[in-house]
Amino acid sequence: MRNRPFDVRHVPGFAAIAIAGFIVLYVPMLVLSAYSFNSGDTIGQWEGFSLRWYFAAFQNDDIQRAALLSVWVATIAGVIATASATAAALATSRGAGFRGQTLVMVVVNQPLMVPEIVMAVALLILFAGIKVATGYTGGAYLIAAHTAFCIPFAYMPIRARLDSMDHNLENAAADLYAGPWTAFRRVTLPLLWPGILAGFMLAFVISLDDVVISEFVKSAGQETLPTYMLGQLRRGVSADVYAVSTLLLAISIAIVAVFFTINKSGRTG
Amino acid sequence: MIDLHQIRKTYGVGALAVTALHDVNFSIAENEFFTLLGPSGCGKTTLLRVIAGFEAPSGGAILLDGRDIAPLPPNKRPVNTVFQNYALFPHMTVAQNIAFGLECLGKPCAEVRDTVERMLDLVQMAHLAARRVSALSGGQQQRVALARALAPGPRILLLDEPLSALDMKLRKDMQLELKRLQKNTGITFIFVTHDQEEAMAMSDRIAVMSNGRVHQIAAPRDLYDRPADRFVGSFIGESNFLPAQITAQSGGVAQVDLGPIGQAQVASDLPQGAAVSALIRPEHIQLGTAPGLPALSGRVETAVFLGTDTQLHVVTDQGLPIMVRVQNGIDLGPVPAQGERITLSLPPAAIRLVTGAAA
Repeated sequence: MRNRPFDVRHVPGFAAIAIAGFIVLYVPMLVLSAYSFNSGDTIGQWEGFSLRWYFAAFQNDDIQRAALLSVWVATIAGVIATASATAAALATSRGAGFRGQTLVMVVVNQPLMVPEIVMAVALLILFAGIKVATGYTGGAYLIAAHTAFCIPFAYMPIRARLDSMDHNLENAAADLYAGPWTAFRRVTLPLLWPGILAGFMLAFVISLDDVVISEFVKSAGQETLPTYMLGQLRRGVSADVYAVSTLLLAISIAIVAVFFTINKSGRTG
Repeated sequence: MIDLHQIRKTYGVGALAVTALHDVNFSIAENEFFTLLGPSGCGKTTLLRVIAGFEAPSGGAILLDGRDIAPLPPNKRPVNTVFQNYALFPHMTVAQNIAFGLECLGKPCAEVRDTVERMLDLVQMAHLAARRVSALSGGQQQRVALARALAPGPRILLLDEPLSALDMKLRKDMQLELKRLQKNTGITFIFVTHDQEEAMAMSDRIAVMSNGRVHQIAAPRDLYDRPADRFVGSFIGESNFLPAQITAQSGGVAQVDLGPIGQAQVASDLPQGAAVSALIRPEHIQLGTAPGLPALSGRVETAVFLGTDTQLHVVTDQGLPIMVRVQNGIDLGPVPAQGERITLSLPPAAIRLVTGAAA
């Protein structure tokens, strides 16, 4: 009798299910990317390779404005979220344990569990009140909302990194006459850095991609890239949206690739 | 130089409280190699962490040169630690690791450089100064950890089982080297280990601990020859425990009834009626009868050849298991074999009364 440990790869049909899964995941993206290079106007009808939709997208002022706002919001929200997440991760994993520590973790991770649409409606109501009261309709609402839902995404890699770090390293720094701030700056921070960077990139991508909350929170006339694309789709599919989508996909893949490389080099180095 | 006064450590509160250290008291002298020895979970590492400042004691005082350092954080204490897993800073080179403490103390650059060089020479690592610590072997990391902890010139060096990760050969070398370093630098070492041989080989004095208590503090030879209680006797070296009763006590000499073995007079201050057992080391038991010595006969159950000597597991006619070590040598005659009947004699001078009844 074979007494090998259970291996899912030996279950009948495993390969077929895996292939079906990959097809569902990746074929739509491949089709989208392919047609962004189509020289014709209609989807499903290949008329030859061209970069015309990319040029069209780059020359479109609305797309430029939307892209700029998206990048601004993602950068600022990402930085604030990462800073908050770093502080939260340090507070919940270092120093003396405190009452309600688990509660804090639940609260920090809450945006992962609350349905996004609920959060969006709640923010809409809150911000509508503030807009009326203050008259301010700028980008701060988007930044505040994005910061909030990015925090758990930034928190996860930072916390994971902290948990894999040896507590004795900080003890050793203190033992060698480093005060709390020096120990943090010279030992904890350099070792935590890959986690912080990974957290920021994750937050950046999540913010860049958000459509539901942005759609509800943005002021009149404001468009982020995803809300702009959504608006365009209502008027019928335009091929420059494919080009923008493909670019977003490429940026995401690049960031994820960098994220993995950093995490890997951080582990061994 | 350093005095621990009534150091107590408890974890948790109320009914769930666990006491890790029970009122530990001892003093360590200048330039002493002092070892905390005990099985895992005995509180030796906790005690070291209390001295280093990583754990706050629940009570008591730590007087270093007359000043209580218990309320100070680790970075304000003139003691340095060599960690069990070394805890070297992985993002720094060997030299940067060693310089860390000196820099945090705000020493001038030139002094930092000189001291780092001196430390690198001391642990014979000068050729690897620019290496990343992750590229070093276990033995090399050990040396860097030592140099890093010695560089700031601490009053006391704390070593938390620093040799446990090394293989046997390297461990023996490092034992000698640590001893040499301690004598050369003149720094007081407090060394934590569960390995009694290691403790015996290196220490000026050893504190034997179990369950958060210190059982005995003595020089290695005294611990072996005059263990204070049954725990110390069984933890240090091999030993036989025989049931014993003190029938009379006069001026430091106890009349002891050893049951089947007979009567003996043993030097001991323990009072009549105390719960005691008689400890006798396997190598002190003699083969054959000798005039005036209590003797007993039995059968060799197993004989284990160990190179310099042979270990005999003997069961006496009264059913007592006794371990005997017989030296192997060219002129010493044949060693009894398994199954052989032999006679053993017990020199009274080798019998030591310890508190705690024989099982």
